[in-house]
Amino acid sequence: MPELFEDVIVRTIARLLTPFIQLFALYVLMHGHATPGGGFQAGVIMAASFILIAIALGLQEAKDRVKQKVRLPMESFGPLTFVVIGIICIACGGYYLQYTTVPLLPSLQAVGAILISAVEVGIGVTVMAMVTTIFFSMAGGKHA
Amino acid sequence: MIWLLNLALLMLLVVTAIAVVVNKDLLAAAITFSVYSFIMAMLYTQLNAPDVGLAEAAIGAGATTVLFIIAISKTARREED
Amino acid sequence: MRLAPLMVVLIIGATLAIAVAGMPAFGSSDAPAYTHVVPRYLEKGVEETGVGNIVTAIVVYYRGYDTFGEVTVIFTAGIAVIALLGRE
Repeated sequence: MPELFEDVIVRTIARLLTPFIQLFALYVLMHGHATPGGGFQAGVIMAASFILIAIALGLQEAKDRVKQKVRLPMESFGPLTFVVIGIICIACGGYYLQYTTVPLLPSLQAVGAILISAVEVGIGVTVMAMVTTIFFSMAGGKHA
Repeated sequence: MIWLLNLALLMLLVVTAIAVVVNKDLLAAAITFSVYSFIMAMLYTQLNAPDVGLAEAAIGAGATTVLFIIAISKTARREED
Repeated sequence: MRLAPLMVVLIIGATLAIAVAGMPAFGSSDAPAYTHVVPRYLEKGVEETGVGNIVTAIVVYYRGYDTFGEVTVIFTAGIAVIALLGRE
């Protein structure tokens, strides 16, 4: 980022608004099986909250909130979730990603909902980590 | 009456799309493109596709614009002929 | 010399306009896209997958492979950005 935007209104509003944006992202993620939304949208909304912090409060503040050590492993979380859940489905006698074959609960529908939500969480984590990483990489360069 | 809103949104969509291409000021073009994405998100919601509308509003109007503006701030603002 | 691109654009535009006239009406429910697999998804979707949002059911359950590929593409894009632009 070129320079910090020193304005008390912008900084205060950004600081106040961020938790609500992140709460909305979690809502979109966890209610993706019932209402519009899902992993991709939730991940981008969560990343947008960190982008807002970076623009209003400075890049370093945003980097402190999502540490690189945490973010880079998070990026591989989505494909990993898919592979693990798919292999669990195969081990339980179904096809790859046939969620309802897993004998976790008596009701097959509940199992499907839980595993689909788990996959959505994986997608959301990957998208969030990827978008923030691209933003930090582009914004934190040496030039300009 | 909803067709009137749709007509207005579609006409605004065409206007913003042409403005993005014609504008020589890349920063203004990026902002106009975010307006384009937002109109597109409204149209998706109007077409009963709230999932796509949510994604378009978050990605098109939010993340893409920020990445464009960072890229402009690191290069030149004016387009050269 | 600028006439040739204009002609190409006009011809392609006219072809597309003619093609649009042959498409099913906007929002009609008997379009081929809505008669192939969509009725089965709408009827059996909730009882087969257990999620109420049919879009999520299709994206994650019926088209799970596609979404897996999509996430892999995003993962690859992130890795490429880290490799090209350095680790911040």
